[in-house]
Amino acid sequence: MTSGGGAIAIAIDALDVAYGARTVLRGATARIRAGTMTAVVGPNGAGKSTLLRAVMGMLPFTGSVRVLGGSIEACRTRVAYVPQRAAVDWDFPITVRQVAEMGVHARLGWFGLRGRRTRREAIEALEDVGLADLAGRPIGELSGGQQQRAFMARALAQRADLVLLDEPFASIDATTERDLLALLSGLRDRGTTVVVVHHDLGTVRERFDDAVLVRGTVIAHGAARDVMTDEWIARTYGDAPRTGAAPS
Amino acid sequence: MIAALAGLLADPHARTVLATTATLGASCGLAGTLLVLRRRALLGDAAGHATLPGIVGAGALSLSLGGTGREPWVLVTGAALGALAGIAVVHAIRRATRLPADAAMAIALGSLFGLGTAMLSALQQVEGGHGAGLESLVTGDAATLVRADLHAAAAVAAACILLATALRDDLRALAFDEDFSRSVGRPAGWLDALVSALAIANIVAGMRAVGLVLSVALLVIPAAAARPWCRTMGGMMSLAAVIGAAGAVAGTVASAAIDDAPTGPFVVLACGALLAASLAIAPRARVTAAGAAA
Repeated sequence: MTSGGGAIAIAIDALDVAYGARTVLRGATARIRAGTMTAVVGPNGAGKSTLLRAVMGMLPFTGSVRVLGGSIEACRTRVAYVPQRAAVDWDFPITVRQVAEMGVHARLGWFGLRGRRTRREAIEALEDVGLADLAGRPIGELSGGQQQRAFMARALAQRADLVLLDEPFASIDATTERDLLALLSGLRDRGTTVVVVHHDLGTVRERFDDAVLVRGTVIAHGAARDVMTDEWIARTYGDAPRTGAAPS
Repeated sequence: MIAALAGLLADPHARTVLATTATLGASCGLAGTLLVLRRRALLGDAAGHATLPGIVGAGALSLSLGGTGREPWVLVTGAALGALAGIAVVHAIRRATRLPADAAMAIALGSLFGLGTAMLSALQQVEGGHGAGLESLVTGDAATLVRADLHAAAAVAAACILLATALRDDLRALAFDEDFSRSVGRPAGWLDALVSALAIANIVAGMRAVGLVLSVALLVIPAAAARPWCRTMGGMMSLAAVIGAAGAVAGTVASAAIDDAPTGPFVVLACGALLAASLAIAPRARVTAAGAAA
């Protein structure tokens, strides 16, 4: 399976990743087209999050990963990464506005000017996700869906060309999922490349341009209508449980 | 208590002692907040205990070269090297074994403190050594503090305030969401090294006042007491500094009222009382957050 034309935002070739003796990904090769919304799907433990972390250069790997035409180190300020909710200490003393400000700080670098402008841009991002009223609240007092919106605001504040989200819709309400999907589609329409680790196979077909199917390697990648077929899904999931698969 | 404090304030030496312990308490509260929020409290404990073999080794070296065995710069250097060695041992154990972090820290803490205690006993056997009076550094003796100690404590406090303020955005991002911090290219290793260095500086500056065994309590307890009342890291650092200073002064005054009482245990007890009061008054939900923070 190959992608169609257009610029490539992420090029992964012969990627191997191992945690100690356990190999998680072997020989993964994929192309993610710039300006598309791409879903990374596969069963639990398939290596989806690992694929994202390798793209971010956050773990050792062999093979080649090129992001926005070069090394990830050369373009970190152009990439926004939203980790899994479980990876974060939600009891941390930080307000919703400060979470959004992290996105502005990331863009400004070490000695960027901070202050009123940072604050205004953070509030604008919070308005986009419908959280401006809760800007002064500690993040721990928010619901799971609201916390995910705050993370989305942080990613928006980064004004990145490439946004990677690791299971942003895990254990959140349907309204938040719909709103966040609309926000991500809007980003894509303005030229941002959006990559989402996602579980709901039904929405992948409806809402995403492309898909990357993962199970220990990249099983298939390309336009969602081409790869989200019963055959490829069966090869990816095997006997593993699948969520939201459309009836065949 | 108030009368005892008023009595102490009349004496210039006592004023120096109180100013030193108050400054240390404030500085420890600030640095301890960073340590607690980054979940590195036990690493601070390991570093604190590891200062003992460093101090005794430095004292013995000084004696063997004809020194007194307790020149301040010698002991401070020994303590800092010991603390660094303690952290290095923790990392070495983790690399060489598959033990979890808490086990590695407990091993380093116990074995290095054991080594230090054994070295201290050996030094006490040596003629003219008498342990060089080093045992007071284990539990602290605020009565021995002089103006140089106040200056050292003030310098450490100033460094803590300066660095924590200048790097607050990066320190907050790392402690709250390490993956995000790494994703935007912030140097987690250097920021963690800075947090460790601030903790070590406080432990070394405070060893004559509260002792190196209990110094970690002065780092951790004020932060835990402040947690239920604060919505931001900056607020928590400020409140922990106030609680640390209050606990340090109260403990120093209490220990001064009893002949030959070590200062460290009284300071820790005073801080512990403030923590208990904080948790008793704070709303229930917030106490849970403090438990998670500690």
